[in-house]
Amino acid sequence: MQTLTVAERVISQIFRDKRTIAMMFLAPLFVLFLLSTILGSSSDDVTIGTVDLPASFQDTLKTKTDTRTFTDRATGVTAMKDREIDSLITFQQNQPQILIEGGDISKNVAALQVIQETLITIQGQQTSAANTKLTAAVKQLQQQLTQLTNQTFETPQPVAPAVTKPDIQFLYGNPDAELFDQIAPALMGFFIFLFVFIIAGVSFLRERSSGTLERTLATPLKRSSIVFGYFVGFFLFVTIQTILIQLFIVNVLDVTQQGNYFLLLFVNLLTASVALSLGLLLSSFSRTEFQLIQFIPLAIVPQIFFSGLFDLSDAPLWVEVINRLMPLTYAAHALQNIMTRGYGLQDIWVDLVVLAGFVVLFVALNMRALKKQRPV
Amino acid sequence: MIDVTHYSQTFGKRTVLTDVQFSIGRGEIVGLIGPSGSGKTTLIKSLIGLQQPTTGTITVLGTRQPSLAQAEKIGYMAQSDALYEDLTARGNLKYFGKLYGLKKARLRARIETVLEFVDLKKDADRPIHQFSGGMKRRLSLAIALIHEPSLLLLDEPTVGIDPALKKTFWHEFEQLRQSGVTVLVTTHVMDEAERCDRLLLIQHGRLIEAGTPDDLIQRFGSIDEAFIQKERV
Repeated sequence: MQTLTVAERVISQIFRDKRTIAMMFLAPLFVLFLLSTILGSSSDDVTIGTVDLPASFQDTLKTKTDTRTFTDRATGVTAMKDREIDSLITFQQNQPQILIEGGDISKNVAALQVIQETLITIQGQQTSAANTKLTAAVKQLQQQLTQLTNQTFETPQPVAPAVTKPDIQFLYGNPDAELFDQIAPALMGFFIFLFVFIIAGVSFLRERSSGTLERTLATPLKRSSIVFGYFVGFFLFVTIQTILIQLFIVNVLDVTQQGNYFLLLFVNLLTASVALSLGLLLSSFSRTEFQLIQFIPLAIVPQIFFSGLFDLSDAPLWVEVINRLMPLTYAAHALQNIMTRGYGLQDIWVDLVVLAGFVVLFVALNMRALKKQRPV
Repeated sequence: MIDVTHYSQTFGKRTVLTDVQFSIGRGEIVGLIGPSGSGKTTLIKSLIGLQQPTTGTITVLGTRQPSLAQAEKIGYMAQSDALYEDLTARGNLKYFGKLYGLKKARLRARIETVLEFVDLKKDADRPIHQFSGGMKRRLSLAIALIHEPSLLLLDEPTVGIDPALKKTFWHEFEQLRQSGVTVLVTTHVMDEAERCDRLLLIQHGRLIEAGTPDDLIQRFGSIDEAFIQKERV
């Protein structure tokens, strides 16, 4: 009952603070939109310069990417320095020499890939051309033999090249997936976490610094009712915020979403609960808003490194230990598996249990911290 | 109403109150007088039950503090206006009234009564951040009264308000006393001290004197003089 009184007050307070509502609902969407646009605007198209290439090579290359022909290597290098081409191919004694610009990793890889594909195609063409010639020669020999001996000879048909164009399939996702598709689940978790943490933390801190917390504790209210009241009150807004972010990422930004929509929402809300309880807890250890904000680079930002954006397979043990201590590790793991791999509850329940454990831990610690304010 | 025996309070190594001992009966206005930093607020907080006494006992309305149940019978006005700035005056009253366990009809009636009492009826639906300092003090008093407490603990209720409002406040305290409410009020303003039934003089965390204002003035010449003479000893 008292919990609801606190919750009702928290809700009506937020409703009267229009800017906080706007910040809660619109800021994450804006940031995500910006990021998706930025990550989506990088291009893997490369321009390859050529000097004196064999005609077959030149023609094949042309079908795969933009090319520019130069009369000699020096002008080609100048063009590369001006960033007009990403790679330069020259031929020396029938061997291709490839120069890569080297400043842009994704373009380097793309250029090398195009050139390799071209080489494979040409090899295939050369093999089949040789085969055709061979077949013709054998046929001629056969005819001559038949004329000489009046006997017919059976010859094996030439075998087609063993390796043809590979058939590539994806276990999860699709070939059109961009970088944003890969990091969107983790980012969704991170932004929900960040914004809930800030707003919950600052609100609770304001209660502390304005004296209203102490005033509230001078009433017969139980300590647990304050924490749960905040939880319930904020949860209404957090739910709306989470639904908005999820709708935006999945439906507007069109990120790959293979899993169950409601499971995804559940994980997001659990993530928000961790942020909510952590925000309330850390506000107990701050005297001012400024001090609370100082926790962000320390406790929140590092979590993004562990949220699956980077591969940590080779990380030293201590990094792995930190990784296991970060709530967002579990949130991002679950979110990524749902969205890109379409996993269900039976595959991610461990993550959910750990996240719920964090909520229980933070809430319990928070009630202990409040004991400083009132012993009973 | 209040019984304090051999009460000391330390925070870490800092001792704020030393061996405080006094009692207050029903229907008194008692002034807790002392310079800032003398431990008045700490004493008030212990009386409400916001902290555990380091040594000694504090008994309020027959129950040893800290206890949660006693909070229902105590009205508290903190030194700073602990109000929710985004809410209206009525919203603040409603919230605290509910926390004190007031039910719907009684809550509504009490809100109107205390609003009337502190003369905030026409501003009841304005958000607090539009309020002047004096209006906030009045609302804080209204909140302290919302659940009809039999004991009022007022921490510097008149600091920073204009003389006319101060007069009104004291008139209201006297009205409350007549209806049987015990009032403990801290101040360091001497003209307020003279309006109390009894005074407790506190300095450097010790209770140095107690008595009626007349008694103290007779013995020391004035209340200020009491502090000065005690300081010398």
